[in-house]
Amino acid sequence: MEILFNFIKTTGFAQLTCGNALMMLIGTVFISLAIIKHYEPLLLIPIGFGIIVGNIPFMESMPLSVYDEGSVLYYIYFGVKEGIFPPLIFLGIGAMTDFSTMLSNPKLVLLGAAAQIGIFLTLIGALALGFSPTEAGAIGIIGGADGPTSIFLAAKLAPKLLGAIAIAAYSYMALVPVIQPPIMRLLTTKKERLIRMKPSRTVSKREKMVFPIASFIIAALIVPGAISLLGMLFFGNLLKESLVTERLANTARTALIDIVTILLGFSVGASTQAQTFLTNQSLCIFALGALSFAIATASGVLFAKFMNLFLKDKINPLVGAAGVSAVPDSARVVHMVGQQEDPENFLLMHAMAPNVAGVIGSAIAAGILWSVLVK
Amino acid sequence: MNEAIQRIIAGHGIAISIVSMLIVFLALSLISLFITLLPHILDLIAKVYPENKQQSDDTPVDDRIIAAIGFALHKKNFTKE
Repeated sequence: MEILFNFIKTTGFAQLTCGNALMMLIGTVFISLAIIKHYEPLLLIPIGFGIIVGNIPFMESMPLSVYDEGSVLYYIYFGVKEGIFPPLIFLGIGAMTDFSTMLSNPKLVLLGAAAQIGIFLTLIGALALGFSPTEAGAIGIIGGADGPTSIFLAAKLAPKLLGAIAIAAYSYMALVPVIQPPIMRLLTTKKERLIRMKPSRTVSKREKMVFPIASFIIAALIVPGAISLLGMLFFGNLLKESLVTERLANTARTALIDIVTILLGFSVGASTQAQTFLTNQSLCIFALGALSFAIATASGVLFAKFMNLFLKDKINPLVGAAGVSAVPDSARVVHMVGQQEDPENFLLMHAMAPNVAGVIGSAIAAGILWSVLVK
Repeated sequence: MNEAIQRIIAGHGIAISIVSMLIVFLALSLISLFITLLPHILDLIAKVYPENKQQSDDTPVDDRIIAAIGFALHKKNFTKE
């Protein structure tokens, strides 16, 4: 009988706290959003289930959590903690990204830079709220709307906040279709939303091949801190565009990125134990992340309007919102908002240019913050 | 409020933000400039090493494919069911 009572004490039911239950509910909401609303299912399902797994209480003597050396989850989480998974995801993104639209309209690259303003204004906000400079930098990068970049920088600058930052970044990426449209409509007139852009020119294969090598050299020489992210991104793209490594490119954009996404999403979810996650700091991070995302969207749209003051061929300012790097969701949202005004206006390909420029921009921003803030 | 401003100043928040933003713009502007110049550079290179037409995206689409697309659109738009 004593054995039975002792066993009951070790069960999750006996040790479950309200915090654990709340986190499991959050995990279930993530899974529901993915299944019902189709919000980033590839990310939200692994993260959501990971949250549930990470919040099952167990005896302290058993090494089971991502923080217990020797547990299976610990070794999976190693890839997150040491910043291994984000560059691998960038490799896959590079191998699936077509930079043609960006190459055909280079001025749209600047929109990808403008949208990074959100990162730095949020850094200021986080400092004001009492976060240390390294923590503020890691929180600010949420505004880049790039999950892997956020995880990479948080792992380097503020490992303690990694779980909250990763969840915030991926949540806002999933909520792109909810967060961005009201800001885009608020900052543009109907006339502006109706602007039709010139079709993109055809880009030669040689341009596509030279671009990843040259762009990497330019960006990495300016910001060496971005080498691992940009190196993998452009390497993946070179695999795709070189036309002689199709097998490698195919592996990078399918099996490899899928495996890493599963491991990253699941272990990040499992790192959100209520005892460490449900804190005032996490709430602040979520609030700052939302602010960061909103500012990034607004900056992109406003910068497009600013560019229009000087351009003969006007840019539809909605396209500026795609400067946040949530690829390809923010480009899709731009297209959708544009089509609500004019169903014959196809903005998707135009929006992909600032969208992929945003990926490069946020990786550069992460490299700068790492270089400036690391001790 | 004063405390918040003090924290921003102590953490060099404004300076880091301005400098970082300038570097992001510089890096992406240089990439943008390079992309703008790239077709001209490649035109010069093409004079020495002409591009293999088989590797070019400019290869005209097969006339049969265009005819098939035209037929499908015509059927969809003008044929009464």
